[in-house]
Amino acid sequence: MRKSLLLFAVAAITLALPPLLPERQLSVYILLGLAATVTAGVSLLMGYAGQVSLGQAAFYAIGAYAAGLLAVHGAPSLIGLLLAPVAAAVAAVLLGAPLLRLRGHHLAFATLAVQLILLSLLGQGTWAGGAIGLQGIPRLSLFGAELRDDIGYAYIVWAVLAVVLLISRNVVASRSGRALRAAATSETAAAASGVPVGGYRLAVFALSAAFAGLAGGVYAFYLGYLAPGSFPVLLSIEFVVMAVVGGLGTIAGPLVGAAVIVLLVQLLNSLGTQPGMPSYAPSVLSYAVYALLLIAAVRYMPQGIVPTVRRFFPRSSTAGASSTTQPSSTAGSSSTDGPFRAGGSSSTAGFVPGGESSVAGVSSTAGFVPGGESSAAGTSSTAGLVSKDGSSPAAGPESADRGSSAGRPGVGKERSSTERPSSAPDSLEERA
Amino acid sequence: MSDFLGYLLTGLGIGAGFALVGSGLVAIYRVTGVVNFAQGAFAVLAAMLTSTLLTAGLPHVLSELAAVAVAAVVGVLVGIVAIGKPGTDPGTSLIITLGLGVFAYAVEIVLWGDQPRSFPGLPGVATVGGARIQAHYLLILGVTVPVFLALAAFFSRTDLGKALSACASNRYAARVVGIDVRRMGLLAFALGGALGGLAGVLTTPVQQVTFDSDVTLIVNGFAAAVLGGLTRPGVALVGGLLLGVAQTLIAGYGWGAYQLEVALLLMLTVMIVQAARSGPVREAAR
Repeated sequence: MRKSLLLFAVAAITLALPPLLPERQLSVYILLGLAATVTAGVSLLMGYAGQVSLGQAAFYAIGAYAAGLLAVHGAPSLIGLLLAPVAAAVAAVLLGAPLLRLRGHHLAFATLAVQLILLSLLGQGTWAGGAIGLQGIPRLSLFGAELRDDIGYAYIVWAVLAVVLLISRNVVASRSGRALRAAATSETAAAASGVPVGGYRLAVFALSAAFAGLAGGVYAFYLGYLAPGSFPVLLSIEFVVMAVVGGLGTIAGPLVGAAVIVLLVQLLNSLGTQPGMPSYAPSVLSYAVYALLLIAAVRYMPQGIVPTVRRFFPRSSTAGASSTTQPSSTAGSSSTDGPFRAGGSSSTAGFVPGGESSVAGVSSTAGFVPGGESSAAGTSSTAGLVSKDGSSPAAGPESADRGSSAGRPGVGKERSSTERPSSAPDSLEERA
Repeated sequence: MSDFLGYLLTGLGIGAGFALVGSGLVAIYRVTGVVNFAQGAFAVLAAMLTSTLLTAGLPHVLSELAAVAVAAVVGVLVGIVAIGKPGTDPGTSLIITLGLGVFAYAVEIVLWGDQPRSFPGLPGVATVGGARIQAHYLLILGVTVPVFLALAAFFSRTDLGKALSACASNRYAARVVGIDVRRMGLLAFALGGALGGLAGVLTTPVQQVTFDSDVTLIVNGFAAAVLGGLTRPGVALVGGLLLGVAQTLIAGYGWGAYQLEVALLLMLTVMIVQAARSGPVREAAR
């Protein structure tokens, strides 16, 4: 109840805000919304498919250039905006088919490589304006009315972000969302229980690219000018920072992460451009903020802002969910390996309940209680299956000697043994 | 023919730089399982520092050695942040080193500004078999090859090197026989920092360095290292040299604009082929 109230409050405030903001702040509002839209995709990919993409800005660029090129060549701008996510998703499917065989740091570098290749090609392609950039993109016109003012774009961005968050919520709460989470924690176990892991992973990759492409399309019409320099590698890293800081695998995380970082950088920017500050101050401050926030979040708040805050307000979700959330999310945060499945059995057990709690929380927001109930039960049964796999004799020795690498085998075992009883009653309780 | 020889030698010189960055990655990855994204920053930092020391009047060899030593210390600091907290898994550490790489941007801009920097290397032009190349490329090769030989000897002959190799092959067993795996991890980061720094000070006289040239360095270094599955320094050397020669040949024969693409496509192909050969399910190996 309190959750849906919060949701309405956030929606009302963000809708009421644009007319009250001066021009300069309005552009911050728009860019924040676009960043949150892309970050929603990154969060989905990292939190639910367990993969790091350091090239998300490439899909942002593909969407932007698709919309921009179509508009420049005379296509109606609405068509351009709608085709932007399609172009990005198609590119993601074509690239993902070979690339998603890779995992972990290999995939991270592969996506980074894709972005570098794309930037280099865009910089040389005269058809795309080359290094100078694509100029003269008309403004967006909807049903004959041309959007000239920033305020129109602010509402477009609001609608885009709302659609994207709604889609992510539905994906997460769906059967395929559960399957994805299972695959992120243990691919073997998921595949063994009949999840088409490769296909789902490709689908999430394409979906996250589509989000980025849609944001890129709006960006193209908003700025009216695109250059390869607008999509640096650092932008991809920014999206990762926002996703990690906000909280991977949560619905509100991307919005919170993007808001925190964009506003903080804006604040420091105005601080850095004060008279008397050296000319390099703004860029130095923003680099430092990205770096320190990312490191602090990963080390001290591995689940991100949203789940951490939620833990302090357990009553904000339904009573049933909170009683199960409390112990499991504490257990999850004690292991530093939130989004990644590289650890031993302990981390898999720790991560799934965390994700599950967010699902329970979200479904209660929307108020479809029967569906929410069954999906939570479904997830916990997956969790049971996963932790069984982690401790199975076949996987045991291997993961003991390599998986728990960074730490101490003794503590790792201790952790998992304290955790398993806590997660087992959870699932029993929820199934009952 | 002399053109070809010239491109070949230049390429070997550039490739040696990639190989050094790549071997730094390998040194760290073997022992800790972490792919250090801040590896390129070591090179940039050392190069910038060398230029400052040279302007301050220090003689050549001394400034370079000092910069490499500082890079090693920075390596340890990166290691402390990245793997210092027990139980940090490699994926998380990768994200932390990513953050440290961005943090290095801030430090570098404050200390050295955002303009490209360079400093003079070995002056003069050498003639090898009719090909005239900058003598500095020969210096790069002349330093890199002994460094790799010393690395090989270090890993196979000394106790410390053997302890590092032990952590690399089986961390659990290494702990059982009393090797402090975390200290070895930090040592590996120091080694990685020194190798990265060496790459920076060696290649900067022939290639300018800016605060954000670490992306190119790390990607090329990773491409060199991934050929050997990120675990074999010798293969990283071969991979780096091949990459350097390929890029120089492409640039030399008129496709200069596409040299980065070729290197990256090569890396992607190698990784995809490796993934296809080892099969889709490899989670136990992580």
